[in-house]
Amino acid sequence: MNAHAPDESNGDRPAVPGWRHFEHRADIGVEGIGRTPGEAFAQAALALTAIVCDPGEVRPLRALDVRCEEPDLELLLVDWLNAVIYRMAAERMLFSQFDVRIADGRLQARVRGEAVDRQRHRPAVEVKSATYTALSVTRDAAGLWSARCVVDV
Amino acid sequence: MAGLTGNLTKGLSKVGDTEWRIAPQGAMRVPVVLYATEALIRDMDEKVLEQAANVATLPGIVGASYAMPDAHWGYGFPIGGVAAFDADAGGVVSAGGVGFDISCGVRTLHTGLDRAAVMAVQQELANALYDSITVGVGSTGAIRLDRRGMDAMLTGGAAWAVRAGYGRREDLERIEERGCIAGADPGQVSEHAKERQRQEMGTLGSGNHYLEVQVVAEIDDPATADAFGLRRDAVVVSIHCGSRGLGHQIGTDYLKRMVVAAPRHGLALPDRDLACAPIHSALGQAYLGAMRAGINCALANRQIPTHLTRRVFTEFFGTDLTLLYDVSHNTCKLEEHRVDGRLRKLYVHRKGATRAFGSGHPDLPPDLRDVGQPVLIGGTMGTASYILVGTERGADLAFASACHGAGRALSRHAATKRWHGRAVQDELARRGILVRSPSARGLAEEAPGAYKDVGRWSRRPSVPAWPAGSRAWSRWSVSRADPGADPQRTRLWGGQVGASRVPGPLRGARPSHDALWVRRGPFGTVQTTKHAKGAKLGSMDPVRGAELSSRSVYRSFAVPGRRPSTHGSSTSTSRVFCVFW
Repeated sequence: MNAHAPDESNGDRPAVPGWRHFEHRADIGVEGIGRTPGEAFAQAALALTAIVCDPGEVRPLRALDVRCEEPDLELLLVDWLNAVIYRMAAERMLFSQFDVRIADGRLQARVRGEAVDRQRHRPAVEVKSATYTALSVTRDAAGLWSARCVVDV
Repeated sequence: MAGLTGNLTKGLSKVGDTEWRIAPQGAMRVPVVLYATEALIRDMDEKVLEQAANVATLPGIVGASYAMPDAHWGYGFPIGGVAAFDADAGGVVSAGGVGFDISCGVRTLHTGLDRAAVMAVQQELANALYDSITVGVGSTGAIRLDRRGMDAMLTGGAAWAVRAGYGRREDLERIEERGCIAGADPGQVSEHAKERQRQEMGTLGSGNHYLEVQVVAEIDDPATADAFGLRRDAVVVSIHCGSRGLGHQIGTDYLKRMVVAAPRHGLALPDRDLACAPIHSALGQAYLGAMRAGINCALANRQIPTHLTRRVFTEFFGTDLTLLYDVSHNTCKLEEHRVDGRLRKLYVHRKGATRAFGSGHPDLPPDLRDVGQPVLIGGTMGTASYILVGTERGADLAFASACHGAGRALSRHAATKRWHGRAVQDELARRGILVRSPSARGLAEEAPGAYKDVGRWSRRPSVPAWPAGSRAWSRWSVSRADPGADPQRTRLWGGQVGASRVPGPLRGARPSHDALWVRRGPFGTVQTTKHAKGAKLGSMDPVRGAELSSRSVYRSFAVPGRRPSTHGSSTSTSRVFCVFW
């Protein structure tokens, strides 16, 4: 039997704010790091885009508002990522900028991106859903927030 | 969890050649049963045990929590997990036990053509199919459904598609549930789910979804192959896709609803992705209605690329395609199974597992009832797929379930670090396999080496690999082909002169048949090496070590409780042609 040891595939902890992917045999994990939960959530969403394409190729041409509400931060993270995934699918868009504010279990965000351009973005895979696997929203001793979970692709 | 996992590993005991068991411990209500060879068990992720043990704690579970040979770490249930629940015994239905891609599945179509006819126009046909079939992220289908059309599709399934002109009535006989599962309730499907689907009808999607033109390379059971209409050298088309955005959103919506409602239902979940609801609860019934709508969506969806493929083949060859069979591998279905001598109605979850009814089952179409259900197992774009047949014995093992595919050996990230997409495409092209895909990175993530070998290999010829619940056997089948006949073998045994080695684990093994190994020499030359049956493989035999790494060699499947024998039946279809997603 192979013991499961998450492989932090992007190596050391990213700059703050920043994001990274972590490994899951069939799917992929996203992690956002930030000074506030909102910043960590925004970075986790950027990691989501990076599963599909290079976020640097996505121009912030169109803005959409996203709202979520949940009793705890972990459920809120899954809700938030699923709201972004829904917008990606329903609007046929990719997003590269996320301004996220969280207060009292409520998330308000403005996300910016553009319509999928299959020639320029070369999207690799679509994201089906965020899951509750490896889900955590934590604050470390230095006060930095980490928001992570596995997404199904 | 580490302690639990450690205890589970210690509690794993071998009870047959390919059957392993963990007795109930802690909150487990039933044992865990895994079907795999020893080599597969060694390489299996420990998370499979933990997740299968978690499933064993759910209320109303019957028999055991099963894991198929291709099981790997999923979310909630392992991928390759099978579990059945009795509604009247407090049983539950789990959105995590079905997965997000509801009713994702495979269908295979006869073309009536042989390899030579298709290879004569290989490039042109690949391009025509690629132009006709909608594929990749951000793609949209030609069909736009209004509210009424959407609901009709969700209740009608493939029958709706046939009525709409996408297919013909006889297709329905060769689809599980005859193309339409009863009990679908579009009213339980959210507007978000319908909105995601509105532009995606008829699209293949991305990731490991594909349409392939394949050739029958090998037949192990001529009688069954004949009953399935398969003969060596025949060309078939296989399509792998699911319920697209609608299924993904149904999974998302109900997973959350079940997580939130779990305390109200008195469910203490060891893992939130195991989210479930009592079958007799309002939420359980709502999910079943929505999930069945998702199944119908997938069945309708697969009719559309089928229709488009038929058009292309008619244009090229003037021939028509007939459906061999269509299987789904992410479902929960109400089925009758005999448990301890008593017939019971059970909600059977198969997450990354294929139903495999044996001969005589009343749900099989009349012309297959004496044979058994075709079980379609997809390989990677560089390896064979398998067409197996369900057995009566399989009904007593894991509720007539089989594995569903190769299963990943490497994560997507590891695959992209190891391979580059266009290099993968070029390498496959050298082997005669044309690939059409909109994404280079997508190709790298799906590189053949990123997956377990779907069943061709076992460590020794005396320990053949068996697909679960199906009558099939894999063997040293590298042989007997003429050099140009099988790019699959060219792939396996090809390689540059002077750069080949037999990987360590294979050295000393003895092929069970006379072998004619094929390798490509410089400047397109083909070189062959004869290797007599039973002779030891030497370290310098022309095998590409890079491709036959020890990691991939052992990945093969085991049949529950069956002993290896020589009368198995499988038909492998080498992918000689085009893959795209």
